[in-house]
Amino acid sequence: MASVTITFNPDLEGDIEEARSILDRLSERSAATSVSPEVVREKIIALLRGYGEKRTEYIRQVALAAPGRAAFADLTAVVGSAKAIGGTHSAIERAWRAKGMSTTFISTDPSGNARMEPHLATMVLEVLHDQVDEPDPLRSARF
Amino acid sequence: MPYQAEYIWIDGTKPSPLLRNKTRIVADGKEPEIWGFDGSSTNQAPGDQSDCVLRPVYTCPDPLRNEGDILVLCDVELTDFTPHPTNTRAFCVAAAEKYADQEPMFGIEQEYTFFQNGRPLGWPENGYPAPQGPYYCGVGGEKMVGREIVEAHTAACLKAGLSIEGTNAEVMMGQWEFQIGVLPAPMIGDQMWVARWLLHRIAEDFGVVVSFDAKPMPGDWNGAGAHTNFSTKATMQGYDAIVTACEALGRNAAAHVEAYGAGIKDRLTGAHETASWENFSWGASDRGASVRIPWAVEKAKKGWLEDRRPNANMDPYVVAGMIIETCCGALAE
Repeated sequence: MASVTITFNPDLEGDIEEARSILDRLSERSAATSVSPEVVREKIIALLRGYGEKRTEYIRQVALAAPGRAAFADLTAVVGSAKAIGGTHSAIERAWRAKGMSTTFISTDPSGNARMEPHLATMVLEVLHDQVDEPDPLRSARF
Repeated sequence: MPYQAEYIWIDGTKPSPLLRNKTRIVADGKEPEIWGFDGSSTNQAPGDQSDCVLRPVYTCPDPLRNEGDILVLCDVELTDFTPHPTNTRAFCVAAAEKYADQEPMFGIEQEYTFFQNGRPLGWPENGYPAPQGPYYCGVGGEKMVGREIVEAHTAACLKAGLSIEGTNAEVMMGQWEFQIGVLPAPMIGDQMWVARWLLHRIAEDFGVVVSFDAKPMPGDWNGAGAHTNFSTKATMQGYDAIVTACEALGRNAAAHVEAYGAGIKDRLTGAHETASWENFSWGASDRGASVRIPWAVEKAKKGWLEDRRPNANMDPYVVAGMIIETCCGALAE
């Protein structure tokens, strides 16, 4: 049996966020393993459906930065303004949950930097390539 | 088991586009993929370069088929996967994503008219029905026609998971309305196009044609509009933002009227609960104004505005995109 000890100062907002982030990641890893990669891939395809350039590129930037964090300044440049980041992020998360996914798609820290789990980021980049950047033309050529 | 995906798209017919659709069988567990069609048959491509691409952008359950079957609204793209010139959703998405922080939201009141044998449903073969008056929100045999289609359409919208808010009979005999909202862009357009498609498809089974014509009958008969209700985070918090939005719409009145649907000058005459297309006005509780502030909004000093100018045959992507650009642009200054 593994035991995990997390030490943080409950009076410090940054400490609380960091602890919460660690617990979220542990719980997501467990939830994510219960969903097959094929299903996750189809959910990513459905999530990206209908998004315009700003939301698509926001997701791409975060996926490209994995396992690290995409910097807030870089994301602001993609979305257009600092104010638009919050709406973009929450809309994407709501859509992800609405597709029946219990995990977090993108997590943010108090500075606005954003992170995606590496295994998810790999799939996101594959889907972006296959569906958005270079879709196989033969898929559209049936009848 | 494979399922049926009904691909729906907006064609290039002018002045008002038509809806097109075809069925694809999709493997169980797979999302619908890009597809193609003959653009030369939909006014979207010349015959020697006829292929166009369908890219799924919105899906919902198909309420007219079996469980698991879906409707798939698509963007039309060129073969280099860029938006087709007739693709207005791309403009709407860009505007919505640009001003996402303001949380623009829409509710649209879609009016329409049933036709059969070349005249409005229920109208006599020769002459006219009784004058307008008893039909709006009316009940009773001989004067209310088409209700069975309205009921079937409403049930279908609910089963599809669309945000239908209600329905009512309109001022002219054979004319009805449904409302979709409150939704962000571009989903307001996605759901409105799917709701329109369902109405066409269901009316087909009744041998009835649905017209979104802005002025289906000339003379002293009401036209058909698509009053568009609009709010942002700021308008829901204070009246100043509503005034700012109204003033911005006034400064851009001509451009909006031009983009609000074919035949708009025949409908916005200044009569039949419309403001003249030439004279922009806004005011509280005024159904003769271009933009109306509902009385409750004026009293609460926060809420939304109603742009009464869009035609029934308007493109909701264009109207929503333009309102966002104009109003959110002004609110951002």
